[in-house]
Amino acid sequence: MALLEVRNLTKYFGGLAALDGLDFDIHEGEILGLIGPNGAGKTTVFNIITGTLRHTHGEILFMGRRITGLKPHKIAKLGAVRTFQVTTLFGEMTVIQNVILGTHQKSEIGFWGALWNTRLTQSKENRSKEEVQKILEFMGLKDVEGELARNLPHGHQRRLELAIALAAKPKLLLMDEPLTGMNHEEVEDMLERINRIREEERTILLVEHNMRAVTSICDRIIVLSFGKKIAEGSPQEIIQNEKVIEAYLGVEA
Amino acid sequence: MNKREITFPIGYIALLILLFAIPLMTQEPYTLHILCLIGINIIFACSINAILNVGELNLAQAAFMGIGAYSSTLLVMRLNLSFWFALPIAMVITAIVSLPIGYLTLRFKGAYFLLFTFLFAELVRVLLSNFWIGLFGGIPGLTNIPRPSIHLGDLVQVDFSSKIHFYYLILILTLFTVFVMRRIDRSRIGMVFKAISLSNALSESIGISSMKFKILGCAMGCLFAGLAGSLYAHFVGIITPPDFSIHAVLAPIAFVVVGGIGSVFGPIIGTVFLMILSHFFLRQFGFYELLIYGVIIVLIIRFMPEGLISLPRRLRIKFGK
Repeated sequence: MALLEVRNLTKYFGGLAALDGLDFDIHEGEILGLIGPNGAGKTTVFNIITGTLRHTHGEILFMGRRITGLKPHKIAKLGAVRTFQVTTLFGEMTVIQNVILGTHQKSEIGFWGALWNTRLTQSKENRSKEEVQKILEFMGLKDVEGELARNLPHGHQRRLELAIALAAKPKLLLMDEPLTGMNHEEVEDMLERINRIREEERTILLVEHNMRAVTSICDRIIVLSFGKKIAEGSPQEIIQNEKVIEAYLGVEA
Repeated sequence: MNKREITFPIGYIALLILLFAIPLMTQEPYTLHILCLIGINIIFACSINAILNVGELNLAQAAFMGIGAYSSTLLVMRLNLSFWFALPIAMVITAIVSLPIGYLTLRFKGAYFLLFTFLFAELVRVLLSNFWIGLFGGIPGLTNIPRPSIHLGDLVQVDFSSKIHFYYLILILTLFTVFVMRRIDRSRIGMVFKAISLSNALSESIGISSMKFKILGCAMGCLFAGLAGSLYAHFVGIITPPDFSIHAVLAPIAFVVVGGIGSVFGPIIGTVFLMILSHFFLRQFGFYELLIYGVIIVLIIRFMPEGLISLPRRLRIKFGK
């Protein structure tokens, strides 16, 4: 059984079909790339999976459970955690607080527990603190843990976004253009980190514009154009696929 | 890590001693009266701030204070309940009323939320003025509200009709409010509240139900609005619907903004500063009182947008070190 199954997913914006009967699976442990020209519907798919947008037809199953129509936080709780296209952080909080918030849901610290600061809460806090330290180290943010998130350079901010998402212990990590606005070094660094996340047996859906990055890191790629899947396969197959070349470069005269 | 906060700087202790010693220094009724009102307003400002912490300004906060005031009064006057039971019950009633209101209105943001809370504030005012007049007393409101008293046998008999006793009652409950607010602010829950006000979308994406926490923050604020209302009713002795109308919430909002939104001590500093200013210093200006008051507020917001609480930091930056 696939980790995530998308079945006949359709979305209309008014009379315009942004997604038209889309089917695909994400298997456990893989990095699946979702690419396509601007307006192909990548972000629409993304937003429907994560619950920020309502679909028109079809359904999405996550670990065999229907998640279409659930609220974003419910879907995140089930284990499908996203990052954002536009850098989204708790800017007025420190780096470490950002990551602690990421662990909040899984820390199971309740309202009264936090207020009375019971011994149980303290042990949970300690466990979550250890995790936070591990994640900060893993993402190379240990040195800046006390800085306000908004004061970080762009590359660090994108790493922090990923750190927050990882802190929420995702089974499926959905990344919306994590490489946008990065310079060459930052891209390399990020790709290496994504690779290391995969080694921890996490599953990743990657929406990205950077073709070279996608083909170098993904196990499988799905190409969207005008809301339809036009190709699916390994990076090599995709690069050579005529339909894909056509969609990206236009038909030769 | 098991060590609970025992840090209690000398400044706080000095302030506490001062606060408890005030009635020994002056027993002038006017001063004590204003100090009691300051205490009630601090509790109320904290309750406004609690909801601002989750990112929304509740214009109906005075209406919730009114719900607390009327519940407490009616419990004492109609059901002959002791004030000491009526007070917590009134708080709980206020918080419970806020739950469905929060559920319905907190899904709206910004201007829409303001409008809905404005409507609720008016609804409460109209209900209290024109409906069930036998119960609520209509526009003249409820009068002769008894002051609390403690009678434990023949030994302990405290009658709170004296302003000094009431001052201590309000002082202790104000300190309690501040303690709880600080506790929340320092806890993980305070962090989650702040996170939701900073980015709703990101909070949701990591599994935090923003609705749940907004309703919780709102109920928390209303619990203390109920406390402020109950104290107000039994302190002043008369409550009328206009006391809790939309106008009643505007000055306390100014207290919060002038003191500093979002911090625990900001609203307290703002309340103390503005109330002392208007009741002790600006009274001599007669007709010009409100004008000068307004100009001072505008100047503070213009030059200290983060509120009076940012003053020490600003001074430190300005004079080095």
